Amino acid sequence: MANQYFALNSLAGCFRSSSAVVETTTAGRFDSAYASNAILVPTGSDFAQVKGTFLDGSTSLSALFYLRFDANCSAFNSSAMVFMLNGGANAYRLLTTSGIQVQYWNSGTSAWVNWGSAFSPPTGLNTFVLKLTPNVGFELYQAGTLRASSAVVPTNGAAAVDEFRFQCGNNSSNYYYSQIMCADYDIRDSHYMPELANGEGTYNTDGTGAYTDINEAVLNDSNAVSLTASGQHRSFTKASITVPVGQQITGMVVNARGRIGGTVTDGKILCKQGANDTVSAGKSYNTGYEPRWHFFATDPTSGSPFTQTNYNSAEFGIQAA
Amino acid sequence: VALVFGGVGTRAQSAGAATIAPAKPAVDSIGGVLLAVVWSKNNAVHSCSTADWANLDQKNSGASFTASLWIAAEGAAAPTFTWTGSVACGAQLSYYEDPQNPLDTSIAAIGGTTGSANPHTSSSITSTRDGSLAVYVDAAAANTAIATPAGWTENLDNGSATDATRNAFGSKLFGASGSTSGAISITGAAAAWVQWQLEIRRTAAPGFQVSKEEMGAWLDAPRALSFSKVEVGAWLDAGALQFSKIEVGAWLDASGSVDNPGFCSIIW
Repeated sequence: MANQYFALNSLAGCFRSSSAVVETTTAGRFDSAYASNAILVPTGSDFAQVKGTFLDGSTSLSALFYLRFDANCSAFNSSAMVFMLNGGANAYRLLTTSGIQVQYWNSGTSAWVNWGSAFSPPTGLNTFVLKLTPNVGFELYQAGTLRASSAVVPTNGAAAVDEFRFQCGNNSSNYYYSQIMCADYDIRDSHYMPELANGEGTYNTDGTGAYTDINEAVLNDSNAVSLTASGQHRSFTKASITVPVGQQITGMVVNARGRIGGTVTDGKILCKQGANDTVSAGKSYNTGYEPRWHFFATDPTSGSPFTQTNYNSAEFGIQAA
Repeated sequence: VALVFGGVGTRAQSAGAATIAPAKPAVDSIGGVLLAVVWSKNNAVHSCSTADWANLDQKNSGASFTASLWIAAEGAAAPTFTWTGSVACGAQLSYYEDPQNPLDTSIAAIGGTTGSANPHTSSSITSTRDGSLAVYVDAAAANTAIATPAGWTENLDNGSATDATRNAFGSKLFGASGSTSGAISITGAAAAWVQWQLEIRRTAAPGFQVSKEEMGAWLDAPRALSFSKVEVGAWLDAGALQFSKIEVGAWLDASGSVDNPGFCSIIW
Protein backbone atom coordinates (compact mmCIF):
# COMPACT_ATOMS: atom_id res chain seq x y z
CA MET A 1 0.00 0.00 0.00
CA ALA A 2 1.25 3.44 -0.88
CA ASN A 3 1.59 5.84 2.04
CA GLN A 4 1.98 9.59 1.97
CA TYR A 5 3.95 10.98 4.92
CA PHE A 6 3.75 14.75 4.48
CA ALA A 7 3.39 17.53 1.94
CA LEU A 8 3.80 21.21 2.67
CA ASN A 9 4.63 24.48 1.05
CA SER A 10 4.18 27.06 3.78
CA LEU A 11 4.59 27.77 7.46
CA ALA A 12 1.27 26.03 8.15
CA GLY A 13 3.12 22.74 7.86
CA CYS A 14 6.16 23.73 9.92
CA PHE A 15 6.85 24.11 13.58
CA ARG A 16 6.99 27.70 14.67
CA SER A 17 10.56 28.80 14.11
CA SER A 18 12.52 30.64 16.76
CA SER A 19 13.62 33.09 14.12
CA ALA A 20 12.53 34.59 10.87
CA VAL A 21 11.25 31.91 8.54
CA VAL A 22 8.86 33.62 6.16
CA GLU A 23 7.29 33.06 2.81
CA THR A 24 7.91 34.82 -0.44
CA THR A 25 5.91 35.38 -3.55
CA THR A 26 8.85 36.14 -5.80
CA ALA A 27 8.62 34.26 -9.08
CA GLY A 28 11.45 31.94 -10.02
CA ARG A 29 11.92 30.67 -6.52
CA PHE A 30 9.30 27.98 -7.01
CA ASP A 31 7.63 26.17 -9.90
CA SER A 32 4.75 28.47 -10.73
CA ALA A 33 2.94 25.66 -12.53
CA TYR A 34 2.22 24.20 -9.12
CA ALA A 35 2.94 26.73 -6.35
CA SER A 36 2.71 30.45 -5.78
CA ASN A 37 5.05 30.76 -2.84
CA ALA A 38 7.92 29.09 -1.03
CA ILE A 39 9.33 28.82 2.44
CA LEU A 40 12.19 31.25 2.88
CA VAL A 41 15.02 30.06 5.09
CA PRO A 42 17.51 32.86 5.73
CA THR A 43 21.20 32.43 6.29
CA GLY A 44 22.23 31.34 9.73
CA SER A 45 20.89 28.57 11.88
CA ASP A 46 17.21 28.88 11.01
CA PHE A 47 15.30 25.97 9.56
CA ALA A 48 11.83 24.88 8.58
CA GLN A 49 11.07 21.97 10.86
CA VAL A 50 8.90 19.00 9.93
CA LYS A 51 8.21 16.36 12.54
CA GLY A 52 5.34 14.75 14.36
CA THR A 53 2.65 12.32 13.33
CA PHE A 54 2.84 11.88 9.60
CA LEU A 55 -0.14 11.64 7.29
CA ASP A 56 -0.28 7.87 7.57
CA GLY A 57 -0.23 7.96 11.38
CA SER A 58 3.40 6.98 11.73
CA THR A 59 5.93 9.11 13.56
CA SER A 60 9.15 7.58 12.32
CA LEU A 61 10.38 6.33 8.97
CA SER A 62 12.48 3.20 9.18
CA ALA A 63 11.92 1.77 5.71
CA LEU A 64 12.34 3.10 2.20
CA PHE A 65 11.03 6.61 1.69
CA TYR A 66 11.20 9.22 -1.03
CA LEU A 67 11.71 12.86 -0.06
CA ARG A 68 10.89 15.24 -2.88
CA PHE A 69 11.39 19.00 -2.72
CA ASP A 70 12.13 22.02 -4.85
CA ALA A 71 14.96 24.25 -3.66
CA ASN A 72 16.05 27.59 -5.00
CA CYS A 73 19.43 28.95 -4.04
CA SER A 74 22.42 30.83 -5.38
CA ALA A 75 25.16 28.66 -3.86
CA PHE A 76 25.95 25.41 -2.10
CA ASN A 77 28.67 26.59 0.21
CA SER A 78 27.59 26.36 3.80
CA SER A 79 26.17 23.90 6.31
CA ALA A 80 23.56 21.45 5.03
CA MET A 81 20.38 21.99 3.07
CA VAL A 82 18.39 19.08 4.48
CA PHE A 83 19.08 17.70 7.90
CA MET A 84 17.44 14.50 9.14
CA LEU A 85 17.31 13.42 12.77
CA ASN A 86 16.12 10.45 14.75
CA GLY A 87 15.03 11.02 18.31
CA GLY A 88 16.80 14.36 18.29
CA ALA A 89 20.10 12.79 17.25
CA ASN A 90 21.89 13.26 13.95
CA ALA A 91 20.91 10.76 11.26
CA TYR A 92 21.47 11.85 7.65
CA ARG A 93 22.04 15.09 5.83
CA LEU A 94 22.69 16.71 2.49
CA LEU A 95 25.90 18.59 3.15
CA THR A 96 26.31 21.68 1.02
CA THR A 97 29.77 22.96 1.80
CA SER A 98 30.84 22.21 -1.77
CA GLY A 99 28.11 20.94 -4.03
CA ILE A 100 25.96 18.29 -2.40
CA GLN A 101 27.31 15.35 -0.44
CA VAL A 102 24.99 12.88 1.25
CA GLN A 103 26.28 11.89 4.67
CA TYR A 104 25.25 9.59 7.48
CA TRP A 105 26.02 10.01 11.15
CA ASN A 106 28.27 7.38 12.72
CA SER A 107 27.01 7.34 16.29
CA GLY A 108 29.99 5.24 17.37
CA THR A 109 32.54 7.85 16.40
CA SER A 110 30.18 10.82 16.57
CA ALA A 111 31.16 11.93 13.11
CA TRP A 112 29.55 12.54 9.75
CA VAL A 113 30.64 10.11 7.06
CA ASN A 114 30.44 10.73 3.33
CA TRP A 115 27.95 8.37 1.72
CA GLY A 116 28.35 7.99 -1.99
CA SER A 117 29.97 10.74 -4.00
CA ALA A 118 29.40 14.48 -4.12
CA PHE A 119 27.96 16.27 -7.10
CA SER A 120 27.45 19.89 -8.03
CA PRO A 121 23.98 20.77 -9.28
CA PRO A 122 23.33 24.07 -10.95
CA THR A 123 22.11 26.90 -8.74
CA GLY A 124 18.63 28.29 -9.17
CA LEU A 125 15.51 26.19 -8.92
CA ASN A 126 16.07 22.45 -8.67
CA THR A 127 13.88 19.47 -7.96
CA PHE A 128 15.60 16.99 -5.68
CA VAL A 129 14.38 13.53 -4.81
CA LEU A 130 16.16 11.57 -2.11
CA LYS A 131 15.33 7.88 -2.08
CA LEU A 132 16.59 6.65 1.25
CA THR A 133 16.36 3.45 3.20
CA PRO A 134 17.81 4.16 6.64
CA ASN A 135 20.90 2.13 7.32
CA VAL A 136 20.76 0.54 3.88
CA GLY A 137 21.36 2.90 1.00
CA PHE A 138 20.22 5.92 -0.94
CA GLU A 139 19.78 7.43 -4.36
CA LEU A 140 19.69 11.16 -4.96
CA TYR A 141 18.07 12.56 -8.06
CA GLN A 142 18.27 16.08 -9.36
CA ALA A 143 16.18 17.19 -12.34
CA GLY A 144 15.09 13.60 -12.75
CA THR A 145 18.62 12.25 -13.14
CA LEU A 146 20.43 10.03 -10.67
CA ARG A 147 23.36 12.08 -9.34
CA ALA A 148 24.62 10.08 -6.37
CA SER A 149 23.94 6.77 -4.71
CA SER A 150 25.36 4.20 -2.36
CA ALA A 151 24.48 0.72 -1.24
CA VAL A 152 27.22 0.68 1.38
CA VAL A 153 25.61 -0.08 4.73
CA PRO A 154 26.42 2.74 7.18
CA THR A 155 28.51 1.99 10.22
CA ASN A 156 26.50 2.80 13.34
CA GLY A 157 23.96 4.59 11.20
CA ALA A 158 20.50 5.70 12.28
CA ALA A 159 17.80 3.10 11.82
CA ALA A 160 15.06 5.65 11.23
CA VAL A 161 14.27 9.29 10.56
CA ASP A 162 11.59 11.19 12.48
CA GLU A 163 12.48 14.82 11.83
CA PHE A 164 13.40 16.85 8.77
CA ARG A 165 14.97 20.28 8.87
CA PHE A 166 15.19 22.35 5.73
CA GLN A 167 18.06 24.73 6.22
CA CYS A 168 20.01 27.38 4.36
CA GLY A 169 22.99 25.85 2.61
CA ASN A 170 24.45 29.20 1.63
CA ASN A 171 26.29 31.64 3.84
CA SER A 172 25.28 34.77 1.98
CA SER A 173 21.73 34.45 0.69
CA ASN A 174 18.43 32.75 1.39
CA TYR A 175 17.20 29.29 0.47
CA TYR A 176 13.65 28.76 -0.75
CA TYR A 177 11.83 25.46 -0.40
CA SER A 178 8.58 24.43 -2.04
CA GLN A 179 6.57 21.32 -2.85
CA ILE A 180 8.10 19.37 0.03
CA MET A 181 6.68 15.86 -0.14
CA CYS A 182 7.50 12.52 1.41
CA ALA A 183 6.04 9.09 0.74
CA ASP A 184 6.98 5.43 0.68
CA TYR A 185 6.57 5.09 -3.07
CA ASP A 186 8.23 6.61 -6.09
CA ILE A 187 7.22 10.28 -6.16
CA ARG A 188 9.85 11.48 -8.58
CA ASP A 189 7.05 12.61 -10.89
CA SER A 190 4.68 13.75 -8.16
CA HIS A 191 3.77 17.32 -7.26
CA TYR A 192 2.04 19.28 -4.55
CA MET A 193 -0.32 22.10 -5.49
CA PRO A 194 -0.77 24.18 -2.30
CA GLU A 195 -3.25 26.92 -1.66
CA LEU A 196 -4.02 29.31 1.16
CA ALA A 197 -7.50 30.44 2.14
CA ASN A 198 -9.03 33.13 -0.06
CA GLY A 199 -12.40 33.50 1.64
CA GLU A 200 -14.81 32.33 4.29
CA GLY A 201 -16.47 28.99 3.63
CA THR A 202 -19.99 27.83 4.32
CA TYR A 203 -19.13 27.05 7.94
CA ASN A 204 -18.65 30.68 8.85
CA THR A 205 -20.58 31.49 12.00
CA ASP A 206 -18.59 29.85 14.78
CA GLY A 207 -15.70 31.34 16.69
CA THR A 208 -13.71 34.45 15.99
CA GLY A 209 -11.15 35.53 13.46
CA ALA A 210 -11.16 35.59 9.69
CA TYR A 211 -9.53 33.69 6.86
CA THR A 212 -7.02 36.51 6.63
CA ASP A 213 -5.74 35.50 10.07
CA ILE A 214 -4.56 32.12 8.79
CA ASN A 215 -3.24 32.91 5.35
CA GLU A 216 -0.64 35.55 6.09
CA ALA A 217 2.52 35.47 4.02
CA VAL A 218 4.69 36.26 7.02
CA LEU A 219 5.34 34.73 10.39
CA ASN A 220 2.43 35.88 12.50
CA ASP A 221 0.73 33.83 15.16
CA SER A 222 -0.59 36.81 17.04
CA ASN A 223 -3.92 36.58 15.27
CA ALA A 224 -5.78 33.39 14.65
CA VAL A 225 -9.14 31.77 14.09
CA SER A 226 -10.43 30.65 17.47
CA LEU A 227 -13.13 28.10 18.25
CA THR A 228 -14.11 28.32 21.89
CA ALA A 229 -16.54 25.41 22.32
CA SER A 230 -16.50 21.77 21.39
CA GLY A 231 -18.07 21.06 18.03
CA GLN A 232 -17.61 24.53 16.62
CA HIS A 233 -16.20 24.55 13.13
CA ARG A 234 -15.05 26.86 10.37
CA SER A 235 -14.36 26.29 6.71
CA PHE A 236 -12.55 28.32 4.09
CA THR A 237 -12.51 28.58 0.35
CA LYS A 238 -9.54 28.56 -1.94
CA ALA A 239 -8.81 29.15 -5.60
CA SER A 240 -9.47 26.43 -8.14
CA ILE A 241 -6.67 24.41 -9.65
CA THR A 242 -6.12 22.94 -13.06
CA VAL A 243 -4.38 19.63 -12.77
CA PRO A 244 -1.52 19.54 -15.26
CA VAL A 245 -1.57 16.94 -17.97
CA GLY A 246 -0.02 13.72 -16.80
CA GLN A 247 -1.04 14.20 -13.16
CA GLN A 248 -3.98 13.02 -11.12
CA ILE A 249 -5.26 14.07 -7.70
CA THR A 250 -4.34 11.41 -5.19
CA GLY A 251 -5.76 13.32 -2.25
CA MET A 252 -6.18 16.57 -0.38
CA VAL A 253 -3.57 17.54 2.20
CA VAL A 254 -4.54 20.08 4.87
CA ASN A 255 -1.90 21.54 7.18
CA ALA A 256 -2.96 23.61 10.18
CA ARG A 257 -0.74 25.20 12.80
CA GLY A 258 -2.75 25.45 15.99
CA ARG A 259 -2.93 25.25 19.76
CA ILE A 260 -5.58 24.60 22.39
CA GLY A 261 -6.73 26.31 25.55
CA GLY A 262 -9.80 27.09 27.59
CA THR A 263 -12.29 24.23 27.67
CA VAL A 264 -11.33 22.84 24.28
CA THR A 265 -9.12 19.80 24.64
CA ASP A 266 -8.18 19.14 21.03
CA GLY A 267 -8.60 20.24 17.45
CA LYS A 268 -9.60 18.47 14.25
CA ILE A 269 -9.13 19.15 10.56
CA LEU A 270 -12.04 19.03 8.17
CA CYS A 271 -12.83 18.90 4.48
CA LYS A 272 -16.23 20.02 3.26
CA GLN A 273 -17.65 19.25 -0.15
CA GLY A 274 -21.17 20.14 -1.09
CA ALA A 275 -23.42 19.44 1.86
CA ASN A 276 -21.07 16.90 3.34
CA ASP A 277 -17.92 17.04 5.37
CA THR A 278 -15.27 14.67 6.60
CA VAL A 279 -13.61 15.45 9.92
CA SER A 280 -10.37 13.96 11.14
CA ALA A 281 -9.92 12.47 14.57
CA GLY A 282 -8.41 14.76 17.18
CA LYS A 283 -4.91 15.73 16.08
CA SER A 284 -3.43 15.96 19.60
CA TYR A 285 -2.84 19.69 19.59
CA ASN A 286 -0.89 21.17 22.50
CA THR A 287 -0.83 24.54 24.24
CA GLY A 288 1.92 25.81 21.97
CA TYR A 289 1.44 26.38 18.25
CA GLU A 290 2.40 23.24 16.36
CA PRO A 291 1.57 21.98 12.87
CA ARG A 292 -0.79 19.12 12.29
CA TRP A 293 -1.48 17.49 8.94
CA HIS A 294 -4.29 15.45 7.46
CA PHE A 295 -4.76 13.59 4.21
CA PHE A 296 -8.21 13.25 2.69
CA ALA A 297 -8.07 10.51 0.07
CA THR A 298 -11.70 10.81 -0.98
CA ASP A 299 -14.17 13.61 -1.31
CA PRO A 300 -16.90 13.69 1.35
CA THR A 301 -19.75 13.58 -1.12
CA SER A 302 -18.88 10.73 -3.43
CA GLY A 303 -16.59 8.76 -1.18
CA SER A 304 -14.38 8.38 -4.22
CA PRO A 305 -11.06 9.97 -5.11
CA PHE A 306 -11.32 13.66 -5.85
CA THR A 307 -12.09 14.70 -9.37
CA GLN A 308 -10.77 18.11 -10.30
CA THR A 309 -14.33 19.45 -10.20
CA ASN A 310 -15.03 18.08 -6.74
CA TYR A 311 -11.64 19.15 -5.45
CA ASN A 312 -12.24 22.68 -6.66
CA SER A 313 -15.62 22.92 -4.98
CA ALA A 314 -14.32 21.55 -1.68
CA GLU A 315 -13.55 23.71 1.35
CA PHE A 316 -11.05 23.06 4.10
CA GLY A 317 -11.22 23.97 7.75
CA ILE A 318 -11.00 23.16 11.42
CA GLN A 319 -13.24 21.89 14.18
CA ALA A 320 -12.95 22.00 17.95
CA ALA A 321 -12.96 18.51 19.42
CA VAL B 1 10.73 24.38 23.25
CA ALA B 2 10.19 26.97 25.93
CA LEU B 3 9.86 30.62 26.72
CA VAL B 4 13.36 32.02 26.97
CA PHE B 5 15.45 35.09 27.64
CA GLY B 6 16.38 36.46 24.23
CA GLY B 7 19.02 39.10 24.97
CA VAL B 8 19.54 42.67 26.09
CA GLY B 9 20.11 46.04 24.51
CA THR B 10 23.13 48.15 25.28
CA ARG B 11 22.94 49.71 28.70
CA ALA B 12 22.36 53.48 28.70
CA GLN B 13 23.67 55.66 31.52
CA SER B 14 24.42 59.28 32.30
CA ALA B 15 26.05 61.18 35.12
CA GLY B 16 23.39 63.84 34.85
CA ALA B 17 20.23 63.88 32.71
CA ALA B 18 16.47 64.12 32.84
CA THR B 19 15.97 61.73 29.97
CA ILE B 20 17.39 58.38 28.90
CA ALA B 21 16.96 56.36 25.71
CA PRO B 22 18.18 52.76 26.02
CA ALA B 23 18.89 50.76 22.90
CA LYS B 24 16.51 48.09 21.71
CA PRO B 25 17.93 44.56 21.47
CA ALA B 26 17.61 42.49 18.31
CA VAL B 27 14.23 40.75 18.13
CA ASP B 28 13.06 37.76 16.13
CA SER B 29 9.62 39.09 15.20
CA ILE B 30 7.80 36.11 16.63
CA GLY B 31 5.67 37.85 19.23
CA GLY B 32 8.15 38.37 22.07
CA VAL B 33 8.13 41.11 24.69
CA LEU B 34 10.59 43.75 25.83
CA LEU B 35 11.17 44.80 29.42
CA ALA B 36 12.76 48.12 30.34
CA VAL B 37 14.21 49.00 33.70
CA VAL B 38 14.92 52.69 34.33
CA TRP B 39 16.59 54.22 37.36
CA SER B 40 17.45 57.72 38.47
CA LYS B 41 19.04 59.10 41.61
CA ASN B 42 16.04 61.03 42.74
CA ASN B 43 12.41 60.26 43.46
CA ALA B 44 10.98 61.78 40.30
CA VAL B 45 8.18 60.02 38.48
CA HIS B 46 9.35 58.41 35.24
CA SER B 47 7.28 58.80 32.11
CA CYS B 48 7.48 57.48 28.57
CA SER B 49 5.94 59.05 25.52
CA THR B 50 6.99 56.30 23.13
CA ALA B 51 3.97 54.42 21.85
CA ASP B 52 3.15 50.94 23.14
CA TRP B 53 5.25 51.08 26.30
CA ALA B 54 3.29 50.38 29.48
CA ASN B 55 4.45 51.07 33.00
CA LEU B 56 4.37 48.05 35.29
CA ASP B 57 5.66 49.61 38.49
CA GLN B 58 7.87 52.29 39.99
CA LYS B 59 9.37 52.17 43.43
CA ASN B 60 11.34 54.71 45.37
CA SER B 61 14.12 53.33 47.52
CA GLY B 62 15.01 55.95 50.04
CA ALA B 63 14.96 59.62 49.12
CA SER B 64 17.44 59.57 46.24
CA PHE B 65 16.89 56.47 44.18
CA THR B 66 13.94 55.31 42.15
CA ALA B 67 13.46 52.61 39.55
CA SER B 68 10.64 51.85 37.15
CA LEU B 69 9.72 48.80 35.12
CA TRP B 70 8.09 48.90 31.66
CA ILE B 71 6.87 46.41 29.09
CA ALA B 72 6.10 46.46 25.35
CA ALA B 73 5.57 44.06 22.51
CA GLU B 74 8.76 43.42 20.58
CA GLY B 75 7.59 45.55 17.66
CA ALA B 76 7.59 48.72 19.76
CA ALA B 77 10.15 51.39 19.03
CA ALA B 78 13.09 51.97 21.37
CA PRO B 79 11.68 54.04 24.25
CA THR B 80 12.70 57.37 25.69
CA PHE B 81 12.06 57.98 29.37
CA THR B 82 11.89 61.36 31.02
CA TRP B 83 11.50 62.89 34.49
CA THR B 84 12.05 66.13 36.26
CA GLY B 85 15.56 67.01 37.39
CA SER B 86 18.96 66.20 35.92
CA VAL B 87 20.51 63.39 37.93
CA ALA B 88 22.65 60.27 37.47
CA CYS B 89 20.52 57.72 35.71
CA GLY B 90 20.42 54.70 33.46
CA ALA B 91 18.20 52.20 31.69
CA GLN B 92 18.39 48.87 29.91
CA LEU B 93 16.05 46.65 27.86
CA SER B 94 15.78 42.87 27.95
CA TYR B 95 13.95 40.62 25.49
CA TYR B 96 11.92 37.42 25.97
CA GLU B 97 10.52 35.09 23.33
CA ASP B 98 8.75 31.79 22.89
CA PRO B 99 9.21 29.88 19.63
CA GLN B 100 5.74 28.40 19.93
CA ASN B 101 3.59 31.22 21.25
CA PRO B 102 3.18 34.97 21.19
CA LEU B 103 3.78 36.48 24.62
CA ASP B 104 1.42 38.53 26.70
CA THR B 105 2.22 42.13 27.59
CA SER B 106 -0.29 42.06 30.41
CA ILE B 107 1.51 40.97 33.54
CA ALA B 108 -0.52 39.16 36.17
CA ALA B 109 2.03 38.48 38.84
CA ILE B 110 4.58 41.07 39.88
CA GLY B 111 6.23 41.72 43.18
CA GLY B 112 8.65 44.48 44.09
CA THR B 113 10.80 45.14 47.11
CA THR B 114 13.10 47.97 48.09
CA GLY B 115 15.96 48.29 50.54
CA SER B 116 19.29 49.94 51.20
CA ALA B 117 21.38 47.15 52.64
CA ASN B 118 22.85 43.83 51.59
CA PRO B 119 21.27 41.36 50.73
CA HIS B 120 18.77 42.28 48.02
CA THR B 121 15.51 40.41 48.41
CA SER B 122 12.14 39.83 46.82
CA SER B 123 9.16 37.64 47.58
CA SER B 124 8.05 34.60 45.65
CA ILE B 125 5.37 35.00 42.99
CA THR B 126 2.90 32.44 41.64
CA SER B 127 2.47 31.76 37.94
CA THR B 128 -0.90 32.09 36.25
CA ARG B 129 -0.26 30.08 33.06
CA ASP B 130 1.61 26.98 32.01
CA GLY B 131 5.15 27.36 30.78
CA SER B 132 5.73 30.91 32.01
CA LEU B 133 9.13 32.39 32.70
CA ALA B 134 9.94 33.82 36.12
CA VAL B 135 12.09 36.93 35.77
CA TYR B 136 13.89 39.01 38.35
CA VAL B 137 15.11 42.55 37.77
CA ASP B 138 17.43 44.33 40.18
CA ALA B 139 18.58 47.94 40.10
CA ALA B 140 20.94 49.39 42.69
CA ALA B 141 22.44 52.79 43.47
CA ALA B 142 26.04 51.55 43.61
CA ASN B 143 28.17 49.67 41.10
CA THR B 144 28.61 46.46 43.06
CA ALA B 145 28.11 43.05 41.52
CA ILE B 146 24.76 41.37 42.13
CA ALA B 147 24.94 37.66 42.89
CA THR B 148 22.88 34.96 41.18
CA PRO B 149 20.08 33.42 43.24
CA ALA B 150 20.20 29.65 43.58
CA GLY B 151 18.09 27.90 40.97
CA TRP B 152 18.00 30.90 38.65
CA THR B 153 19.98 31.78 35.56
CA GLU B 154 21.58 35.18 35.66
CA ASN B 155 21.05 36.69 32.24
CA LEU B 156 23.01 39.86 32.88
CA ASP B 157 24.75 41.73 35.69
CA ASN B 158 26.31 45.02 34.62
CA GLY B 159 27.07 48.47 35.95
CA SER B 160 28.86 51.67 35.23
CA ALA B 161 30.98 54.20 37.05
CA THR B 162 29.30 56.92 35.00
CA ASP B 163 26.10 56.84 36.99
CA ALA B 164 27.50 54.65 39.80
CA THR B 165 24.72 52.11 39.53
CA ARG B 166 24.25 48.41 38.84
CA ASN B 167 21.44 46.33 37.36
CA ALA B 168 20.78 42.66 36.77
CA PHE B 169 18.31 40.39 34.94
CA GLY B 170 17.71 36.71 35.70
CA SER B 171 15.16 34.08 34.84
CA LYS B 172 13.98 30.51 35.27
CA LEU B 173 11.09 28.49 33.94
CA PHE B 174 7.98 28.03 36.00
CA GLY B 175 6.25 24.67 35.82
CA ALA B 176 2.51 24.46 35.37
CA SER B 177 0.22 27.31 36.26
CA GLY B 178 0.25 27.85 40.01
CA SER B 179 3.97 27.24 40.42
CA THR B 180 5.96 29.47 42.73
CA SER B 181 9.23 31.17 41.92
CA GLY B 182 10.65 31.21 45.42
CA ALA B 183 11.91 34.15 47.45
CA ILE B 184 15.23 35.70 46.46
CA SER B 185 17.98 36.90 48.77
CA ILE B 186 21.25 37.71 47.08
CA THR B 187 24.37 39.68 47.70
CA GLY B 188 24.42 43.14 46.19
CA ALA B 189 25.38 46.72 46.89
CA ALA B 190 24.76 48.02 50.37
CA ALA B 191 23.00 50.96 48.83
CA ALA B 192 19.47 51.75 47.74
CA TRP B 193 18.05 49.01 45.57
CA VAL B 194 14.82 47.83 43.98
CA GLN B 195 14.15 44.21 43.06
CA TRP B 196 11.17 42.77 41.19
CA GLN B 197 9.96 39.35 40.33
CA LEU B 198 7.44 39.02 37.52
CA GLU B 199 5.84 36.39 35.33
CA ILE B 200 6.47 36.60 31.58
CA ARG B 201 3.73 34.48 30.08
CA ARG B 202 2.24 33.26 26.85
CA THR B 203 -0.97 34.66 25.47
CA ALA B 204 -3.86 32.43 26.44
CA ALA B 205 -5.71 30.37 23.84
CA PRO B 206 -9.46 30.72 24.41
CA GLY B 207 -10.11 27.41 22.67
CA PHE B 208 -8.85 25.73 19.52
CA GLN B 209 -6.84 28.33 17.66
CA VAL B 210 -5.32 28.00 14.22
CA SER B 211 -2.89 30.65 13.09
CA LYS B 212 -1.85 29.11 9.76
CA GLU B 213 -3.64 26.73 7.46
CA GLU B 214 -3.03 25.56 3.93
CA MET B 215 -4.49 22.87 1.79
CA GLY B 216 -2.99 21.27 -1.24
CA ALA B 217 -3.58 18.67 -3.86
CA TRP B 218 -1.23 15.72 -3.77
CA LEU B 219 -0.60 14.97 -7.41
CA ASP B 220 0.83 11.73 -8.67
CA ALA B 221 1.47 10.55 -12.12
CA PRO B 222 -1.12 7.84 -12.71
CA ARG B 223 0.28 4.70 -11.24
CA ALA B 224 -1.66 2.43 -13.62
CA LEU B 225 0.22 1.48 -16.78
CA SER B 226 -0.69 3.99 -19.44
CA PHE B 227 -0.20 4.16 -23.17
CA SER B 228 -0.25 7.11 -25.47
CA LYS B 229 -0.52 5.09 -28.71
CA VAL B 230 -1.83 1.63 -29.30
CA GLU B 231 -2.12 -0.28 -32.56
CA VAL B 232 -3.04 -3.81 -33.33
CA GLY B 233 -1.75 -5.90 -36.18
CA ALA B 234 -1.49 -9.52 -37.30
CA TRP B 235 1.98 -10.91 -37.05
CA LEU B 236 2.40 -13.08 -40.09
CA ASP B 237 4.92 -15.81 -40.35
CA ALA B 238 5.32 -18.23 -43.14
CA GLY B 239 3.38 -21.36 -42.22
CA ALA B 240 3.86 -24.97 -43.45
CA LEU B 241 5.40 -25.57 -46.84
CA GLN B 242 2.98 -24.23 -49.33
CA PHE B 243 2.67 -24.47 -53.05
CA SER B 244 0.54 -22.38 -55.23
CA LYS B 245 1.19 -24.32 -58.42
CA ILE B 246 2.30 -27.84 -58.89
CA GLU B 247 3.10 -29.48 -62.13
CA VAL B 248 4.41 -32.80 -62.94
CA GLY B 249 6.38 -33.67 -66.03
CA ALA B 250 8.49 -36.44 -67.44
CA TRP B 251 12.20 -35.64 -67.61
CA LEU B 252 13.30 -37.03 -70.80
CA ASP B 253 16.90 -37.72 -71.66
CA ALA B 254 18.06 -38.79 -75.03
CA SER B 255 18.94 -42.37 -75.09
CA GLY B 256 22.76 -43.03 -75.69
CA SER B 257 22.82 -46.76 -76.27
CA VAL B 258 24.21 -48.05 -79.56
CA ASP B 259 22.13 -50.90 -79.06
CA ASN B 260 19.16 -48.80 -79.38
CA PRO B 261 18.04 -49.12 -82.78
CA GLY B 262 15.76 -46.23 -82.36
CA PHE B 263 18.45 -43.80 -83.35
CA CYS B 264 19.66 -43.64 -86.86
CA SER B 265 23.35 -42.97 -86.19
CA ILE B 266 25.63 -41.92 -83.46
CA ILE B 267 29.22 -40.87 -83.90
CA TRP B 268 31.44 -40.94 -80.65
